[in-house]
Amino acid sequence: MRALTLSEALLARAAGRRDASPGDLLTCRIDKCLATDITAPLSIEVFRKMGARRVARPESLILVNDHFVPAKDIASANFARAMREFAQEQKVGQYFEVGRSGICHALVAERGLVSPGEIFVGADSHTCTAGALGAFATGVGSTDLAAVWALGELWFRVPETVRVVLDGALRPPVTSKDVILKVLSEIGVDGGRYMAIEFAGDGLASLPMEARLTLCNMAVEAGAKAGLVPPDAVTARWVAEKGGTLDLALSPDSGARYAQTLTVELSKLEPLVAVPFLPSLVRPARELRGTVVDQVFIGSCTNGYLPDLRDAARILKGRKVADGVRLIVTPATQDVYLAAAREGILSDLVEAGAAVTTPTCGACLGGHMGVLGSGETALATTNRNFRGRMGDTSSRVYLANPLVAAATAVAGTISLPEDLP
Amino acid sequence: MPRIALLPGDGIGPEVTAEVVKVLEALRSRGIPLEWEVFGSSADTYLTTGSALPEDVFQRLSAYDAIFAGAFGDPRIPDSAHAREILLGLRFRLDLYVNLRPVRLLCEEHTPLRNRGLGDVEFLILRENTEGPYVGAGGGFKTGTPDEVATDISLATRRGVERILRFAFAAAASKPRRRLAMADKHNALRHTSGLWFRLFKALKEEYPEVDARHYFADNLACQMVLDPTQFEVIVTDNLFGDLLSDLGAALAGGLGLAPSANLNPETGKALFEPVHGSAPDLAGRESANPSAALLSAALMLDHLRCADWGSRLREAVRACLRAGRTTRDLGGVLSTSAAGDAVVRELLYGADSP
Repeated sequence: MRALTLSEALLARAAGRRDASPGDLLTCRIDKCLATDITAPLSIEVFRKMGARRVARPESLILVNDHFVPAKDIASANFARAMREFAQEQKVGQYFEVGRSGICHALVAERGLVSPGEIFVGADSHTCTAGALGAFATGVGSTDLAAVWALGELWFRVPETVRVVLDGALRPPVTSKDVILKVLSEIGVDGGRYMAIEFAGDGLASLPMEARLTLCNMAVEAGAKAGLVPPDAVTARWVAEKGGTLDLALSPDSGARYAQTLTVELSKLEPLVAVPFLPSLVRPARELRGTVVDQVFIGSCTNGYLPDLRDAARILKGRKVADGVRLIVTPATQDVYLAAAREGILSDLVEAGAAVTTPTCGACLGGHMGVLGSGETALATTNRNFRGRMGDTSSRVYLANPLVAAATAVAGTISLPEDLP
Repeated sequence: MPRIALLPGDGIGPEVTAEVVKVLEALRSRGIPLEWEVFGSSADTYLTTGSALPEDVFQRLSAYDAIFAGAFGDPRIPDSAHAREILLGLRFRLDLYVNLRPVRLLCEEHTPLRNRGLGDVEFLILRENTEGPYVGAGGGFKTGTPDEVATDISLATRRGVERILRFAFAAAASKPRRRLAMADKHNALRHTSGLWFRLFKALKEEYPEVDARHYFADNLACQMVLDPTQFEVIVTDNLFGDLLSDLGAALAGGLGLAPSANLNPETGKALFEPVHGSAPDLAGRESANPSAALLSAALMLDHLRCADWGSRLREAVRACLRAGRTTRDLGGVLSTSAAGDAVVRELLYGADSP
């Protein structure tokens, strides 16, 4: 026996073992698995090629319409149709149709579909978002996912763990987005390659679940296999409210061995911006003041949550989006959309001149609902700013938190809330 | 090799006892010689044979160096006759006259007292365990009629009182402040408490190094709440000890964290049990807090002289509680089993472990 990091403990148990060390190859039982309208069709094809007829555990499947819905063209309509038919054929209970859906990672957390302690894989790289609940959550290829459907299990190499200790508390307008940008700036886009990033420290207690989802969401931008927040009272409250169970929750051991430990002083952070073309090219937002933008996008599985929209509306209420700028806001899920409508957030945004879309991944990956044209510049609350990520390969994307995004939409150039009149 | 009898008992008893077994296994993996045997359900034994502690079982149990009991209380036996038979039976028949109830605050937020921190609530209660009104001497007359009479006779023997007092003086003498508080009610209970008070005064002469003070039991209860820092060792009789030890447990976070030992220092016989009950409503839900059981096991390791593993286990329990790696009742999110695993790993591989 040895002391275990959270991901070591979770993978060991899922493999029916007491221990696991980095490098071990384990076959783990998969508690939940996810596919979307753009990845499920590939998995379905592979599933058939494998000769599989029935999914091993229909109750473990989650199928979400989120990328190109409402269907943006005939091809995406047929993708969605393939997934819909597969869900019916395999009697998948957790199938989410457009209008009752949302961006899969937000939806999974908000509906309590994944619980602390579970092993969760998804055919989408940002599946690591659910690590905020204390699950081991990671993205896999569509082929791997087909194997999970057929067998209910998957092998993993146990990752090493990087520990990120959060000290103190954030001061507005700094958010958890800035925390993860800071981490990325320190370790780089490959600094966490095939590692688990485990968050720790007294600063966690002050971060609500949505802020934790943002943190873990971008773990993959460091190349990490997973991002994890050990479950605590915030987690317990979330589970009590949203559903799910604490039965499988585990904590890391105090003597666990970490490949690296990084400390972030939350009170010393300032709003940050990742500049083209890497999430790790991070600079203080104040140094980028004056950068002209064509579009501001607020949404995504990184920052499309209700507190994010609240932040944006607080800045935009009573103000107008600058001439020459398009502001697109995409609530992460239908529930976020509805809550934002009830709170009056949507009317504040629309009055300011925002185009509010239905929940989708569209704009973030340059799919639809806000694609950038050639030479255009956007500031977005999303997670990736690689060349061409949101549209034309000559377009440029800056990444920031929702408060900076809203202030930028009003000013027309990269700005901080304090810059606004 | 020390031999331990495990009586998991009822309700959550088996769940918390399973976590104790993990600790014993971990120690054995570290080369600590230990042997244990798990006994079956005493409730089942009671329901099938009419006795929870048949003679052969008692004989077997009395051969062990230590007995660990999980918790007793089964909905099938509403009056808990089996629990009384086994616990009181072992206490009386093995003459386990010292009931040792350490009170120690492990996390500031667990105490209901305002402005009290670690170290402020830390003392040892020694409760006489074989006498007082719990010996079953008494009776009823005209039961169920308006003239009904009921008595329980409180018993105090010179031998019984003197031995627990001597144990208490010796315990206090080994503490840093050498402070002993003795609680009785000799102002009202002139015979039994009178005997306690007379023997206490006499022994004070024999232990001049001990700062021994007398309290009336009611005042002692007040003082425990008003200023728990004044106590180091408290000794009292069975009835007052019953009440005061639960008050002490409450000051340190409740019965869910309270361990206990029942000892006969002369014969070396001993029974260890968490103070909490069997909580049948929690049973099978993996939500019971194993801390009290593990802290009781730590007392058992002290008793069995397993080097300093008793202290290490206490520190491991404390480290896990302070890190929030515990069950939901104390603000954690872990199941009983995960909380037990956390303690075992802390014990063997914790940041502060050797």
